[in-house]
Amino acid sequence: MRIITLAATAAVLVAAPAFAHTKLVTANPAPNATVKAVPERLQITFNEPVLPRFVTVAVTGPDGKKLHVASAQVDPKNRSKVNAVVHGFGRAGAYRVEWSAAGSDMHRMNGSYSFTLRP
Amino acid sequence: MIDVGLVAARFVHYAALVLAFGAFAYASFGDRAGAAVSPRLRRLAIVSSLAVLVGSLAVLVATAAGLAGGYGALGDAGLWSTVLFDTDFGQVWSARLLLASTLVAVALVSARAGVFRTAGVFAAGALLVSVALTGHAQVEAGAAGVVHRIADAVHLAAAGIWLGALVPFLFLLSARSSQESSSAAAERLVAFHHVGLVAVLLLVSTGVVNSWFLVGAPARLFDTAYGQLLLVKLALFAGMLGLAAGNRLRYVPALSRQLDGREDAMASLKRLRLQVRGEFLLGMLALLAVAVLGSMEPATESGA
Repeated sequence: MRIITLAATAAVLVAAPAFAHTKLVTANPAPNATVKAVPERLQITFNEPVLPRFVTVAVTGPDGKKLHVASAQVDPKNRSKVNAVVHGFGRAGAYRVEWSAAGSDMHRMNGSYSFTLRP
Repeated sequence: MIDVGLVAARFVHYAALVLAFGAFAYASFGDRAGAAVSPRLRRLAIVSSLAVLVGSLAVLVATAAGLAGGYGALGDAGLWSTVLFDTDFGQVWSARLLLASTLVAVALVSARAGVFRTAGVFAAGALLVSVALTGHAQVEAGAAGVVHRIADAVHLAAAGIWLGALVPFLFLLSARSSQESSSAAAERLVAFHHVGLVAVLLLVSTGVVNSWFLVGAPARLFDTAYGQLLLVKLALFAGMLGLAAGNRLRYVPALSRQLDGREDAMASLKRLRLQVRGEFLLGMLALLAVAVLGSMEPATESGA
């Protein structure tokens, strides 16, 4: 009985799913990059699939004003990727992207990065 | 940034688990014939099992509220379908709710039939040990993750054995003190010394492993909030050890001596009650620290 209990406990502990916190892996435009062309969309890749209901993306321009985020959607083919369509790029300078997202651990994570537009 | 609702829910869940595990384990292994404390043990088993159920429900609700951005969003059916069907967290906690309901049923039935006590030990023990599957021990992948989870599970079991035994001991020490019940109390305390010592050794060794994963470098104990709270928890643990050592080396031997010599043991009994109450209080504070630590970014991650 004891051995069965121990074995069952060990099996569960070994096989359990990992609850990692959501983290940004890459983005396009990349964090700290300088781009010449106005990006058609922002793409953010996370370390794990994220929950579509809880993804938010906000972009602040060089003048400190928020840009209009038309949509921020999880890629149905790869749920680790989020595509955001943002209107209002144009002015040269640094744009700050703030994101929040949660994965299977239900822990909402936030982050931000910047890239520079220099046409 | 600390989610007070979630911390409170976790604390209730952990404290209730330890109490339920202690009540069932003591009823099964420690005190089969102790009629004097059985009714109180049964009540403890029932109340703490209900608190386990309420606590696990509260953890799920508080986590969902944190995800949705506030308790106001909890009425949204879409939120619950996402939580329950699309997340590992929701599925793990649904399973815990089911097991906690079983524990309540076992506690109610075991009031009438003793055979269910062992089922209670297993249900409460499984819920306690599997807390390791719900927290920061989940962050690493691969072999490191397995080592961390096993260390965490052993840590939880050892903490449950030590802390869980304290309330049944208090029942025993405060039972209408006849010579017989006092002798029984002294005997059981002596018997528990070995179990307690093993629990302490396991707590220390697995605590070191867990800290290595969650803190990393010793300097981070001092210069991160996570590390500092862990130091507070260690101080609470040291206080418990001091009280336990006092019991083992001084007060329990004194009680046994007085009982053997048919002397008045009232003063020793009182002192032991005070010591065990102190141990229990420090243990609960340590659990509160654990509930807060679970909501904080581990020191290895902060500033990275």
